Amino acid sequence: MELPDFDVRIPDTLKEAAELLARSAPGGAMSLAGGTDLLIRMKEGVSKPGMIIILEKIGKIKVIKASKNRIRIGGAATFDAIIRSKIIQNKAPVLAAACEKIGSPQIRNRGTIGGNIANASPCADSVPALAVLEAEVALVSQSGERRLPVIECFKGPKKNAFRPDEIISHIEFPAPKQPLRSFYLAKGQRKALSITKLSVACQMEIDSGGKVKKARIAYGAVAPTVIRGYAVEEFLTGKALSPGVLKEAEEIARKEIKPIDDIRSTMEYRRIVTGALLRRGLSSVGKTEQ
Amino acid sequence: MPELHIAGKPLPRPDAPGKTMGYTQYLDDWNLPGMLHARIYYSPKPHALIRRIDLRKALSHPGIHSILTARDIPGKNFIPMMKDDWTFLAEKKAIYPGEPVALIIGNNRESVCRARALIQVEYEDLKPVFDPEESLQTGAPQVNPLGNLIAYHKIRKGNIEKGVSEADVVIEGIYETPYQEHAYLETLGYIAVFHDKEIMRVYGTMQCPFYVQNAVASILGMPQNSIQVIQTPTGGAFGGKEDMPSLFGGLAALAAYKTGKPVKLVLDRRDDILLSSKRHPSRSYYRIGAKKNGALTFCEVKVYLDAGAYATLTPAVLWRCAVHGCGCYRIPHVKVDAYAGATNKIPCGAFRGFGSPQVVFAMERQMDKLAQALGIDPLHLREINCLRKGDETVTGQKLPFSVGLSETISKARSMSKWSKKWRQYPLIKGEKRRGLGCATFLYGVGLGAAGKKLDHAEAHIRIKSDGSVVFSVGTTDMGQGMETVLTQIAAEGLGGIPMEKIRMLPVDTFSVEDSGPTVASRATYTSGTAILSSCEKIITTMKKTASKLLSCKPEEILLEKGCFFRIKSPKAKQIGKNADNKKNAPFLTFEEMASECFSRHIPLSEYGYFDSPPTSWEPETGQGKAYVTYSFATQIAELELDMETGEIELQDIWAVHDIGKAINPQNTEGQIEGGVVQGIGYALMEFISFNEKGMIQNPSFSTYIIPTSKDVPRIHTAIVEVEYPEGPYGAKGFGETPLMGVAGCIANAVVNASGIDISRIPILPEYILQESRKL
Ligand SMILES: Cc1cc2nc3c(=O)[nH]c(=O)nc-3n(C[C@H](O)[C@H](O)[C@H](O)COP(=O)(O)OP(=O)(O)OC[C@H]3O[C@@H](n4cnc5c(N)ncnc54)[C@H](O)[C@@H]3O)c2cc1C
Repeated sequence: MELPDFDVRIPDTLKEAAELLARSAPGGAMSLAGGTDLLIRMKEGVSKPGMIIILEKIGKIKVIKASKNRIRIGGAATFDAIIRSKIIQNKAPVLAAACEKIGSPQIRNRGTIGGNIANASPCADSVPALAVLEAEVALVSQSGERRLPVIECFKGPKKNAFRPDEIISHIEFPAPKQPLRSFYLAKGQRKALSITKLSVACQMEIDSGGKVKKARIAYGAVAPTVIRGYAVEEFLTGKALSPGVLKEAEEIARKEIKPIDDIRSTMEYRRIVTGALLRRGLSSVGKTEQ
Repeated sequence: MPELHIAGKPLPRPDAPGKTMGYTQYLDDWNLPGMLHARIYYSPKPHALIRRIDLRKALSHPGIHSILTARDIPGKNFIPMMKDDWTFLAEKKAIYPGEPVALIIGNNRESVCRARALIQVEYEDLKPVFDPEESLQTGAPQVNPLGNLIAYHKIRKGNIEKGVSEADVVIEGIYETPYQEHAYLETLGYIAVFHDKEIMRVYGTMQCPFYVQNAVASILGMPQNSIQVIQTPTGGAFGGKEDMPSLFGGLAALAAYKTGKPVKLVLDRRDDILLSSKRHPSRSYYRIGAKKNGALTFCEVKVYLDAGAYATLTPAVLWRCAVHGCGCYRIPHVKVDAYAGATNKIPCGAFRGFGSPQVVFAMERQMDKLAQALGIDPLHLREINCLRKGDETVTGQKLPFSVGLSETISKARSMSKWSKKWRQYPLIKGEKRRGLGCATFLYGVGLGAAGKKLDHAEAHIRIKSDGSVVFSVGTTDMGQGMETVLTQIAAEGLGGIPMEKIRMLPVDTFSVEDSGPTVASRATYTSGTAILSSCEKIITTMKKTASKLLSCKPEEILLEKGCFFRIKSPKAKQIGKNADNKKNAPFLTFEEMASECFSRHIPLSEYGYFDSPPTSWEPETGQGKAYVTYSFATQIAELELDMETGEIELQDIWAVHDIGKAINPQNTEGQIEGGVVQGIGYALMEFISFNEKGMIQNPSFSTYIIPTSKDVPRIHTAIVEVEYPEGPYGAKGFGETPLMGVAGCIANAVVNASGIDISRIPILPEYILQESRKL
């Protein structure tokens, strides 16, 4: 397949970019960050923008910074920048772990977190991590800014909940006071450069008595969108991570996901292994506690 | 064997700098003034009559020069391969999704790509068939114009009933193996130029320029002396550039002929996967038996290959499949029936191993099951039965020399510390298991009795007046390292001159005669032999001239490291390197000699020839000298297996290969490692997914999954050299073998680790998990 014809704009500011999007017919213009999803979709004829707006020059939306109690990641921050960021390594290791799973060095150099969200794939690796961080996505358009919890950004596979004229300017989440325990575990068809066939992200606070104070869990590639593990979160709250509790959590997880058969895996495999990964992850989190 | 200075040494590849630094020019890096671009329109239907082709819309797209269909072919619409069934462009009927119907030619890639979507073809659907066994039943839809039975081969040795009655244990099994995509780095690509409307030149990525020459002759109805096919640096092939260049190179030539302009036809990855041949999937039915002491008494095999729609190379692939079906063992009673059935899917062709990896996997599973039933160490069971010097193969061929199989077994056994591990591992219980598995196998080198006619090769060497050297051969380097190995052989054969003085010319059908295809691990021993024979002629001439110049007899000339010495006493020459003898001896350098010969009008330009030693095959019994010789190998895999996620984590692979002689041991290692990785993909992850219409669903590397460097375990290679006296410096072919045992040894290791039976590849975690939950 060959790319169709299209116009290109490279605005210097977010405002300019928003203007360009607002001026064009819905879907007529699309923003391009790393291009690692969009160009492929265009080659396949799935996306047909007449104009692409390259976000490359808008430095503001690439910044990663921490304020007193919030962390903010620019929508056009690359995975590589996120993985290398000391802020993320220290305050949100679950996100660094998830971003490390993505693609190859080339893809991590080009691909951005905003693109990962906007692309709305249930397999997107950064999204389960952002979900357990309870991140909010800031969307900018000519009519101003609005915010959506990351988990509400998706309507279905490859369908985001944004207006076509909106740009993800940044993603924000609370900075934990003390480091929290977390993990991101994923399986693909091979060890690297493979699309995730199932994943589990978790971040939790454990009180001094060894009981779960707050648990946040999310699953990837086992439902039409990334989903939160509300049932397991509720079940774990207030409990110590004993082997019996872990076993039960595993079973609850299997029930709250809705996997399917596809070219990458089977429903049964996804169901069983998602539970197993959750149990293994929780068990290792429990161990570091001691 | 004389002492070697260049052959046998791990010298660097002449093509390495260009390829690693990126200045090697592959086909798609070339553009010619006024060049047009072509693209294939293919049928999306598995089986349909072509009612009407409407090109009007497509022709009116800007940038379109012309669109060609079967009607535009001036010569024959047949691609010369093994049978006369394969067309360049479908005319009345299209029999697989991906079958070329029209060739769109335009000014640039974008226009031909867009115009393709505007071609309208009216089809009338016919009933398709997708399973080769079904296709061979009566009443099945007729796929192939010459009948659905593409080929059948059999072997009958001894008396199978007797073998069964002598057996204490009988093991049965049914095995399935998948398609495999070649996944070469460089996709298929050709440029054709019709020079002064006299000579059709076709450049491109290919294994077999003479096949392409014949294809162009067929499609254009031109004599061979008007067709020049030149191989460009080829970025991998693995068998996938044996048959397919005939189709696409032929079409490029048609386009250049019709338009009078240079035409480039390059397939993008998607088209390449959709339109090019694959490894044959197989289903095989096995029964083997042995006495209590482990000695095999019989082997009975029925195997079906899925040929796809056209025969292409299937009869030869099936023949190799039949000959390799019973492994590398001494078996008195043998019955093999091998069938290839036509289906409405992409034609299958050559792929590293050529019909043997399918049955090696099956047979090596059988051997492990047998070992378990007998309570014998599986590697020992192989030692008991393995072919040794003087033994007879299942085709009744006596092996008089170069049988290093048992050496490979014992070497692999000690390298892997087999004996300690394989008994212990099954005792480990719990989530994380460990396993060790082995496979032993042989590989018939060269085309064998089935490819007799093509089994010769020519080489041409010329010494320039400054002493530099060029040579031409008719076999190709496709990345496997033939250029390096042949350059080493020439350097050695010319008396030890440095490799850097020698250049291999691009393979060109105008410079040497048809040397057969570059397949079947045959380039080193065929072209290598031809090179040595031309070297000998040149050296004789040079020595004679040197003796005149140095006023002595030709026998008194010693050629060493590129210098012609007049030695004091010819007798002393035999004592070896004789430094004393050479001391103060008058000599002439290779360069001086080249220049002297030039000014004295003594030509240093010689052809050399390889003619295959005889082979034979009796079709009714499958008995005969199937191949000139065999390469042997033992491969062992060690892995960790997660019973809860079904994941396999390869730890180590030991690959020990008897190749006669490693002309370049570093290259040999590279071939082993590459083949093992390809085997890992075959064993653990690669498959093609089809929809209900026989259309490939995963024509990209995001869905057709091959191993990355992270999926590769430690690979320990070892070379066994049991000299093949008829090969150059004792070498026999081996390029394909490293892939062949990997699926078998990994499968056996999975069984060792988990007790889960494996009779199908790829071994996906989904399968392991499903089975582990049943335990
Ligand atoms: C070889 C390969 C491997 C991959 N492996 C993985 C993997 O392992 N895990 C994974 O999760 N993904 C993977 N991907 C997918 C892809 O890299 C990611 O989804 C990436 O995050 C996309 O980001 P991008 O900047 O390249 O997006 P683009 O392609 O530029 O854009 C994608 C979509 O997002 C929109 N968009 C981009 N930026 C913004 C913004 N700031 N605001 C609003 N809309 C925006 C675009 O308009 C477009 O619709 C892989 C892709 C490839 C090609």
